[in-house]
Formats: sequence, structure tokens, C-alpha cells
Amino acid sequence: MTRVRVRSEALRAASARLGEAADELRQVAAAVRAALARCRSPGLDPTALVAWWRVETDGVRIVGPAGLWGVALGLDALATRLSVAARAYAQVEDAVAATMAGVRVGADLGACCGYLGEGGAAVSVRPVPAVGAVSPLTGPADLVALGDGLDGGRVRVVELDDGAGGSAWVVAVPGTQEWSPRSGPNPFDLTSDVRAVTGDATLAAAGVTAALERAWAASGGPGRHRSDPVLLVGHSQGGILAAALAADPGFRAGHRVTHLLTTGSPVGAFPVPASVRVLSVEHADDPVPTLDLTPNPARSSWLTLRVGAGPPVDVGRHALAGYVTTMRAAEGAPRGTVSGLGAWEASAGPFLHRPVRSVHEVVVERGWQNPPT
Amino acid sequence: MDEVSDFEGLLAQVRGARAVVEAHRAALGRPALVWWEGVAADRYRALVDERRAALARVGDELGWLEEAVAGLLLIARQEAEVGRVVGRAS
Repeated sequence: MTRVRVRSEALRAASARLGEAADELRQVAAAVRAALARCRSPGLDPTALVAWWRVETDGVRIVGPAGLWGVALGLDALATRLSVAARAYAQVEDAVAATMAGVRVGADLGACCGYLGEGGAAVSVRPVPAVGAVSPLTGPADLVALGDGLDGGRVRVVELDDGAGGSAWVVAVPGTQEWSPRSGPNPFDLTSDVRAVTGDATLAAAGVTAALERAWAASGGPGRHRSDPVLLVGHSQGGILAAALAADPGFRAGHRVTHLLTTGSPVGAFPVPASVRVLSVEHADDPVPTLDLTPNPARSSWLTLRVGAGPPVDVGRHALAGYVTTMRAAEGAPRGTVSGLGAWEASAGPFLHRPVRSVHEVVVERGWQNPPT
Repeated sequence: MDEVSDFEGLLAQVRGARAVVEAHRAALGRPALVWWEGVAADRYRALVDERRAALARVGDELGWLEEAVAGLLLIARQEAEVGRVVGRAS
């Protein structure tokens, strides 16, 4: 969970760049001043003398405090502002890290009493008939809508014709379905919420991995699909688990994750690599995406659509259906209105507007040889 | 010839300075730290706009200086050429 440091690091890096720019401006100013000092008026022709006088006076002014040196000082002042902001952010990040550590310690203590723990449990997946047919996915809204109907610990895996003779895979991960702090057979519960957001491995994520492996096995064997592109999509806890998998080097070693789509998920702390194109959609008034106290990284491979206004207080805005509606509105907006969305869709070409080859669904279950009492 | 080479050197330094100024002006214009919000961020962005304007002004002035130095270089070259002709004639 080292990404907690991302904000202060970005500010420090920007501050350093400004400081370097100021230094470079001072260096070119010194070089111009030195070159100017070597020059003398070309002869005694009055026109040349006037021209030289202008060059000398203007040159001295431009390299001085009213010119290059002044601008360099201005950039130094900007660098100082960023440096101060970086220190403030670092304090906030320390507080967030301490909070996360506290949540983990609390969860570990709770696990001793039978709460928020998965100790001794194993995961299993049971194939079930797909709830319904899946039409070709036309955009992010269809991807988000794949999470609809994943009750009872279901994970949905959709195989698509990637247009190049191979397959592309979309894995839809469900959100929180059980809110009891005592872990039960459905791993998409509060225990996985707490464990995943503090950076622990979870049986729910292991179940998602097993669901994809089982789908591969049913479509010719995992060996055929190791290099196929994989898109992980999840709402709420589903997004957390999807981000945890996308950030996990072990998972990526065996599965070529190219895209991640989360809705209403606090995922800013996960170190998802830049090789994964991320689209995170957050309703501004939904409190859940901000539970990790960590804004999403700002970089070209991570697009965060923060929709709406107002303080994050309306839990009703967290519903999956609301996010599907939001995405349909975003897709329907005039081209270019939603900055970055078109580029993300273009990058997701192997998954969008492609024929569906197969749909696999499993129920993920947490089981104990000796169930906790 | 020393005079000519001195002006050539000055012209090169002024051109280089102008390129550096333009590069930093463009770099300041690129979106950065877009996630940063609040009063401090707003003030920072306002100051960035001011610095960009200052860099643009200095860039313009370096452009005018470049033209003036190029003019002086022309005069220096002409004088050097006259000097060579007079030298050969005498």
C-alpha cells in the first residue's frame, strides 16, 4: 500500500522540476551576460553606436532582475510553495497510513474473537448456469452492468472474440453482499472489505482468480489463454478486489491484465502499474470511494471520472444501477465532453463491440474444515 | 574578425536563452497536479499563470534582442569586409 505516498511525492517532484528550471534560466542568463561582456561597439558609425547602446542596455536588463533572473526567482517561489504543500500532504498521508494500520490491527484482534478473519479457511468455486445471455459490450456502461445479478457470491467471466483470432476476457466481480462482521461462506462480505482495503490477500480475490482459470480451462485450457487480454470490472468491493488483483504482480504474471474498471470503489491506494488502463467512476456524493482517504493517482493511464457535486453523504448514490445510468449518460454525451473517456474506450477495443464467445459463472465459497463457532 | 565572432557568440547565446525560456513556458502550460484542490492549489495555479506570462514577456524581449544583435552582426561583418578590402588596397 505504498501508494499512500503518491501525493506528496508528486508535489515534491514538481517542486524539484521547477527548481531545476529556475537554475537553468540562471545559467542561460549568466551565459548571455558573459557573451555580452565580450562584445564591443562595431566602429564609430552613429547608427552602429545607437544599435550597440540598445543591445547592451536591453541585454543587461533582460538577464537581470527584471528579466531572466526575476523569472527564475519566481519559479523558485513556486517550487517553495509546492514543497510546503508536499510536507502538508505527507502529514496527511502519515495519518492515513496510521489509520489503515489501525484498521488492520483491529481486524487482526477481531479475528481472534471470530470477527473479520479468514484464518484456516479455503476457497472453492462451483460452476453454475449463467443467469442470462450477454450481448456484445458496446461501452463502459455495458461493462459496469455485467455486475448486475451477481448475487450469492457469483463471479461472471465473459469470453470475447478479440478480432485477431484470439480471445479477450472480462471478469465481473461483485460488491459486498454480506455485512456481518463474522465471516461466513460468502466471501464477498465485510471481512473481505476490511482485509482488501488494508492490503491483505483475500479468499474473495482468490475465488475471482479461480473463476477466470476455470473459464480458461473450459475454453481450451489455460495454456491457450495466458497472453489473452483481461479486463477486470467491479463495483464497490468488486472494484477493490479487481484493483487488488491488477496491483498484484503474482496475478499479473499469469494473467495479462490490460484494463481495470471500477465504480464506487476506494482504490487510490492500490499500486496498479501504468501498463493497466484504469477507469474509475465515482459519484461525488457517494461516500464509499473516499473511504480510503486516498485520491486516485493522476496519470495518463488512470482516468477518474468524478461525477456530480456536493459532499459525499448520500449512500443511495452508491447503488450499481446509479453508476450504470451515469456511464450511459457519459457515453451519450457529445464526443469530447467527458475528457479521456473516448481514449479509454479506444484502448479497450478488444473488449468492446466484439462477438461474445462464451459466458461462465461460478459461485465462490469460503469453507472451513473446522468451521468457526 | 574577433568582433564578428563575439557577436556570433552573443547571437547564439540569445537564441539558446530564448529556446530555454519557450520550453519552460510550454512546460508550465501543461496540465499537472490536476488532483490538487483547495485554496493553496488555486493560488498556485494563479501564480503559474503569472509566471507563464512573465516567461512569454521575457521570450518576446529575447526575440527583439536577437533581431538587434543580428543587425549589429551584419554591421560588424560589413566593417570587417571593408577593412579587408582597404588592407588589400594599401
